[in-house]
Amino acid sequence: MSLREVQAFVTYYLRDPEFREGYRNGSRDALEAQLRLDNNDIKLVREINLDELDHIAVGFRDDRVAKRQSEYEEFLKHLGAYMDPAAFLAAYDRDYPGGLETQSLELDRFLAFAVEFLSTHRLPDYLISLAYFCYSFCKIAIAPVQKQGGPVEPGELHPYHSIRLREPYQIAKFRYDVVRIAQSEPSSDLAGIPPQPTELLIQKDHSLFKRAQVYYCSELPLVGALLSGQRMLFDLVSELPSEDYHGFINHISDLAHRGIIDVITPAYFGTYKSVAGNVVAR
Amino acid sequence: MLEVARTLEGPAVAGPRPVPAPTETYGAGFLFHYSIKYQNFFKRFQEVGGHADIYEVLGVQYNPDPDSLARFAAQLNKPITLHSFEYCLGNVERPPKKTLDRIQTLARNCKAAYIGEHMAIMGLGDYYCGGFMQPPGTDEQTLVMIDNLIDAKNNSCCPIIVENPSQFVNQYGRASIGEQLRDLSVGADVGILLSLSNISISEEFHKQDREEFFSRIPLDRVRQIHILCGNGEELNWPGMQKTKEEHEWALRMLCQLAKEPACRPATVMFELEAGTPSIAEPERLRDRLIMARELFFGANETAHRTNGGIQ
Repeated sequence: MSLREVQAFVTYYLRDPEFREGYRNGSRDALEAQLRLDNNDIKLVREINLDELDHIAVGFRDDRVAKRQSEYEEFLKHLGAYMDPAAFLAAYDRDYPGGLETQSLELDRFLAFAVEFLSTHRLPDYLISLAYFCYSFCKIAIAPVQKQGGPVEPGELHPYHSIRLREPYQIAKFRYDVVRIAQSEPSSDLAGIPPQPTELLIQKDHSLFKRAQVYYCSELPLVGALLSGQRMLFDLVSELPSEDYHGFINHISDLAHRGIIDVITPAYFGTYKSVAGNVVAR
Repeated sequence: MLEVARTLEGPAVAGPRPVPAPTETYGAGFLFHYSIKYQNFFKRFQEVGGHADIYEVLGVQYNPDPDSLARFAAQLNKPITLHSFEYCLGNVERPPKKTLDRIQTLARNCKAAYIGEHMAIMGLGDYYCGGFMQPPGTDEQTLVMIDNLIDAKNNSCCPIIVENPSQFVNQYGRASIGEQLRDLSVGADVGILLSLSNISISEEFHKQDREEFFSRIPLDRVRQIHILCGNGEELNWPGMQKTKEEHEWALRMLCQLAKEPACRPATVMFELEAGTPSIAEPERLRDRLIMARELFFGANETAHRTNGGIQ
């Protein structure tokens, strides 16, 4: 007897709806032969109550589906205006019966499936934007935290500091205003919504577990200036009239407080303890 | 009992046998999922005066960012036990070395007191079956698990204990789940994570013979107990009677196990989303933890609480 083959039977039966249906509907002997089960293996697997095995196969499928529902919540909610999301999820499960179900892999496969499905079935393309929005949000939410920056108070900020967008983040471009659509009630009336190219900054939230923050790039004028990497404040303030300087520093401080940017002190400055005991850069 | 297990178990001796590793006693805690829901729950739990002696975390939730577990453990500042499936103990095809290295990295990152792993088959090498599937009850399967667990134990930075799976289907093969768990625990010389929760979950799939199961489990090998702590209000909803009965059964079992001199767990761990739509009320968990400490760890917090210490 080969335990490996018995485990293959249990695995395919649980994961692959086609294998399960075939085994129950006339292809039992052929599938057992395909898996090279010997007589002892066959005796063992035929001891299993198939109704119970079907039940737990559905249970495992539901666990998998629940995870995708949580990741693609807004997309699936709006898809519901056109079809039963459960049928969509079942089709996904059927199309991807193999492999490990690691979150990153599943996020990728689900997006690929959604785009293909929506295109094939000629469903409104704002749904593609929504699927991509959910994907990007989750990818950033689970991305590793990066080293954070330095001072954030206006009095501690000086033109020799540099700033950069706090990582991890993604600048994501969409054909539609996905934030507005995600917040609206699902309806097939949205099928006629005109495209509205939208650029979002999706950034990992460092205070909440596995969450991200979303900003319209158009509302953060500095984002464009930071896309090529970190910039020195000297470089940025040199374009401003002097009376705007303090307002600009306050704005930088606000962005740093909100965790949108990191402030970097040049390495050659070192640190020293102030009288108040705070470590500050000179 | 498998011959290999019988040999390791040795002849019966007078008095309590030494417990398998971890030999320390940690106390009562709960499974802390790495999610906003639990982050918010934890604030409320602390506000009602709750505290845990140890936390259980799921390794898989930290895979994308293993360093986040080090930061989280530092914040909690209590012992951590790491729950894992990476060892795929039942699988003939072994997981890649990088998977095993990753769970060890996580264990080191949180200075894990021990790792809890499942007695289950998880599929083939790179093909997940979808959950913790009850293994065939054959001797070959038990021996594969013993070998895999010994290998895992010998290459781990901390002790590993093994958890009973839910019974999803009828027994296939000679051994019941209880017999196989006993043979695995003895054969690999590791402690048992006795999941009352998994026994309750079986009820939905294949009614497990609980009497038979408990008759097989060497209680002196039990190092952790998993138990449900659902939302108390929702347990009183119409249609929740069966779930409520399972919660009541689990509490009765906990009290019964506490009376068994052989049963000296290192940890009693509550699971907060088992069977009810919402997470447990923080007050409910606080009181359950107090009860578990009093039952197993010699604490006497009730007097303190009734005197106004904890509301």
